[in-house]
Amino acid sequence: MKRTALAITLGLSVLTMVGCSNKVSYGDATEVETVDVGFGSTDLQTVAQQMTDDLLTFPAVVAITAKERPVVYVERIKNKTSEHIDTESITDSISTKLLRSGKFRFVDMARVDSVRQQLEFQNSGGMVDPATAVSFGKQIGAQYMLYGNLSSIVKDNGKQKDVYYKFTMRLMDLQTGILEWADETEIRKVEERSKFGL
Amino acid sequence: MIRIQSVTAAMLLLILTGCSTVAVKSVFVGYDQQLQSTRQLAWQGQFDAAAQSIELGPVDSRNHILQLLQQGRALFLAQDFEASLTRFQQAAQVLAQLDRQAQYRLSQGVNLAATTVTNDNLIPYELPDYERTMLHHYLAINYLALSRVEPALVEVRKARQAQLMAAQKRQDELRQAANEAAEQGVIPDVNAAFNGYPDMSGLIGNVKNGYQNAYTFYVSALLYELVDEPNAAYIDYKKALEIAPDNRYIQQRLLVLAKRLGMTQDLAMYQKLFTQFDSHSAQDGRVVILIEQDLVAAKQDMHLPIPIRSSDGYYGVFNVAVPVYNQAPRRAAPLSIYQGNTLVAHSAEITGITNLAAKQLQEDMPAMLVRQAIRVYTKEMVRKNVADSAGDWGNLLVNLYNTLSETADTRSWSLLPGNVQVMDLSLGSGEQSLELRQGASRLPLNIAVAPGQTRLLLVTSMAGKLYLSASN
Repeated sequence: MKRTALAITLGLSVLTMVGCSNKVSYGDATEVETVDVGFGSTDLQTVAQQMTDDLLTFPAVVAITAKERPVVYVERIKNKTSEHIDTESITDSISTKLLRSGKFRFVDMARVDSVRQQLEFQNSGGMVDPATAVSFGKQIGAQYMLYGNLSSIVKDNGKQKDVYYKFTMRLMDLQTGILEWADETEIRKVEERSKFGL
Repeated sequence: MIRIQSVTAAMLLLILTGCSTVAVKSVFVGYDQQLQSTRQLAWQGQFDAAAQSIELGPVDSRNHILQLLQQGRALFLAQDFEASLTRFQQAAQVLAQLDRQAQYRLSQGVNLAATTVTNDNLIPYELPDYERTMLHHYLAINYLALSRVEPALVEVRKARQAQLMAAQKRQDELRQAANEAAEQGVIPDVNAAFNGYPDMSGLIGNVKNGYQNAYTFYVSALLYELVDEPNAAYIDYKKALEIAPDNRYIQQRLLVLAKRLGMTQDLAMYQKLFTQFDSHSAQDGRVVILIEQDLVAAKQDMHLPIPIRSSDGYYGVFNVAVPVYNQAPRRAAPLSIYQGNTLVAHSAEITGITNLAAKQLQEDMPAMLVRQAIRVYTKEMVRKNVADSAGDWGNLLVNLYNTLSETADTRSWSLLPGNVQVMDLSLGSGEQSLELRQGASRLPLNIAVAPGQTRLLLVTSMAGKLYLSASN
């Protein structure tokens, strides 16, 4: 009896000790991440990659960028999901990729912000108003504006969680207010809660 | 052999109490008593002191999430929005983690086993649905107070999701508890026990369920209006009206929006139902005042006799400790707003949080009674075994322990407001000096009103005194 008790104690203490040691390692930055259904690095990379690929190969955009490198400014991606997502990070990725393609130039965001403050440009509003956008674009010397929406539909019944993301982006000619390009990327993720666990 | 048993028992007790004095305290002292001084401080308007009086405890402790909520709310009242936001964010994080855990957890099972010989105070605190919604609600309000509209909108969407989920998972709990009782061969007469339980209908009022609150829908609608999405706002006002059909400010806003959005059918219906008493002109600005009054009622401890039969023929009437809202119903004290000495408007109640809490408890009661019955029965069996093996002294000790540890789970987010009222005013542009009055209390409000714009104010009315908590 004593021996069994000892064995159990020993086993328990081993378990406790193992539970205490942490391990740190490097991972691949582009590795598929599936920790949970929340918006993650893989989603960000997918969205940025698909958007830039589509934009750079779209015939009308190819025509615009054939002779010159148009100046673009990134309005913002509106977060309409039920998650706190750093949408600036998505626009950063997209603008970096576009800049590195050598086909576009961008207005410095610091300049955009200062003009925005001068004009008290309402950026909390819902839709982008073409009339105000045109005058704003002229002030900062941009020819095109890139903007978009990230929305989601979440269903959760306690056992399964299903998240659908839709990312929409548009490129607008600031002189005419005409949309030159638009695209959307969809992502669906499902998480099943395990029945038993610690 | 006996020695091993007693060692095991001692170890079990150690595990149960978690070696800390805090846990020992919650075995014998109810949460309502532990938090009384904090509530007292908040009641006196000493919000900073109230926030400081809350001990957070270690991250993995049972009440950690509850203490985060309490502190977040106290910090909000103390107008420390950044700190309040951080607390609520931590609480939301803990909640998300709990939600993602497996449906049946081994460690949870151990906890439940522990409570069979102690009481429910040792289970990790599980947020009732209305508190879950209020967590997202206060996150939204904090973001708004810090002028961060987009994250605030994210939170109201989460609040809506929480209310949706709550509607789905009703009733599941009662079935689970009944199954558990059947497995252990315990047959409690829940109906007989219920006869001795106080009637809470006065406190509940005409609330239909414990998870939907019009206040959250109202704030959500206001936020959508702030970002110029009247369509989304219209839907939320409609939901708010469903829950608070008599609130004239919601009615008026629906009339305005139905007209603006061209909802002709709705408009015709609303015009038949409500009388429109103010006409907005384009030169006017809008001032919305949210008034959070007093504190939600605290759960109290009561003992209820419950007859229990077991499958092996045992029969007895046991005293179980259960939580109850036993206070006399308090009516919301209306506020009025004056411009000089002219009365401009009265406030209208939108949500009674005490009503929601009482309704929720009433809904949870049957399952809770079944669980308590299993527990007291197990305790009685322990006493009988000890009486057989350890004689009179052991019997006496266990009896004493059983009586003292019979404490109801009175935990709740008790720093929430008792009721919430609203005012939605249309005022001429320019600097307006107004005065909010409740009884003898006065709160001067100087508001710069711009045409077509909305100013949002949150006022706390505590123990008859008025405090301006937040404004944008």
